[in-house]
Amino acid sequence: MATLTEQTDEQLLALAMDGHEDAFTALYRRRQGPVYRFALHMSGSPQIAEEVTQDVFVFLAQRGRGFDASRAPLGAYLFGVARNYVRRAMERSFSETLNTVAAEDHTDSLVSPEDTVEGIARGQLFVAVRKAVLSLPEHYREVVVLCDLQELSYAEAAAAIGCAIGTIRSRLHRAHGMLAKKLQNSAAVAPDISGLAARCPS
Amino acid sequence: MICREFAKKVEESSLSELGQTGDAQLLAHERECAACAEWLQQRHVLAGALQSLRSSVAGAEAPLVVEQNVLRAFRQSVPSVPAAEPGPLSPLFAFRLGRVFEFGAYAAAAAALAVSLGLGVWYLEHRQKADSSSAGHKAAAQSSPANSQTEKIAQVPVQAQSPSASDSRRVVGPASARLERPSGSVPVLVEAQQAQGYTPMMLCDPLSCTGDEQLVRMQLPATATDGSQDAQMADVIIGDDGLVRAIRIVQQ
Repeated sequence: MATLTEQTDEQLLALAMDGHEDAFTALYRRRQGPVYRFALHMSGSPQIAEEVTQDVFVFLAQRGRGFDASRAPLGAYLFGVARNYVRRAMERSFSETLNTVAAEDHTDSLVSPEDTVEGIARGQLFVAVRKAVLSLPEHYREVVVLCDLQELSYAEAAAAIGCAIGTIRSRLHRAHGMLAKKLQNSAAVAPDISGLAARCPS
Repeated sequence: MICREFAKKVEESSLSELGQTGDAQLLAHERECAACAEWLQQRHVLAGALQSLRSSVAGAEAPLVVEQNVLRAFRQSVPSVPAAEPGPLSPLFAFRLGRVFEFGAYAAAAAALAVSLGLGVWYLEHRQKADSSSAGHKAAAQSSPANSQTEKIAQVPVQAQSPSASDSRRVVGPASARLERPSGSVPVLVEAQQAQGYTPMMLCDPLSCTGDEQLVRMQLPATATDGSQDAQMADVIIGDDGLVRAIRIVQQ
């Protein structure tokens, strides 16, 4: 019999639903990181990310039998559940999650302190990108987070969001344009991205 | 390749793929068109910025308390399975299971024994009753002096006569009188009737002999007697069902 680490997500879930706590623990440890980071990118708040991660896996423990592997992989399914919990959490604390000061404080803590000119510019770029991502409308932000930050394929992102692959592609393209424009308008943007929103002549 | 095709191809590729593209047509157009080259460069910069954002939280995970809370919720919502895998029975468990089956076998054997014992007792009692009744009937039939008459009478439907009836069957004494039934079982009744000179006419079963009985003195029809011209009187005990229980020839 294969060990728990060799089992697929779906096999682990099936074992967990049969009462095997070890399988559920293995599944949690395998999938909590991506879910947490997704919630962190979407909300910009570690507190909301923790809350969402807990809610997602409690939901899985309680209603994991309803999961249909033929519709989507478990990873995409978890992102879909997390997406809904993020939306609820952000509706509850809308002002807090969009507080740019809080987001800036959080991102500053993630940037390694560099006193070189290049490091400062990189840090500024990082903060600017993070602000730009957080300020995107939700349906654009989630495709950027899923495809660019979580590196899901278009098909996986479509399964998580519940839309067509073409919709993901078009939203992502539009989100990239919006990000470029926001970065161009940002005062903190480094000179190397000042012309980011320039349009193709055609 | 024109600029529109270039833009479409760039859109179809993810940001990470753009930085590693080796498409000859794409690269050729990038060299020819300065505007598209600048636009692609902007995408590269955006890809780099997002890459830095991604790597900044690459190792971020939920704290341990979240895992504890989740596992607590799991234990509450999903029934746990026994820790031990089902395998050969342990000697202790097998012994207990064997004891259960052993007790069950004992109980079944005891129940079967009790049922068979009850049936046996019932059968013996029933057979004893049947034997005693038939023996009494034979003895009465042999001892009665009017045996031949009573046998004939038994074949005649008995009709109780009211005192006002005026025919050849004259009723002497009360036309009918309700008998006091001595308490006891059917053999006891038969013995009591025999002691009073009655001849039982039938073997009473408990159901048919539990009702009231009537004593009727009546004149026997000539056809039921030996053919003598003298009127023969008899006391007849008649049950609720109209059948003769016993008869006694009245000696005149």
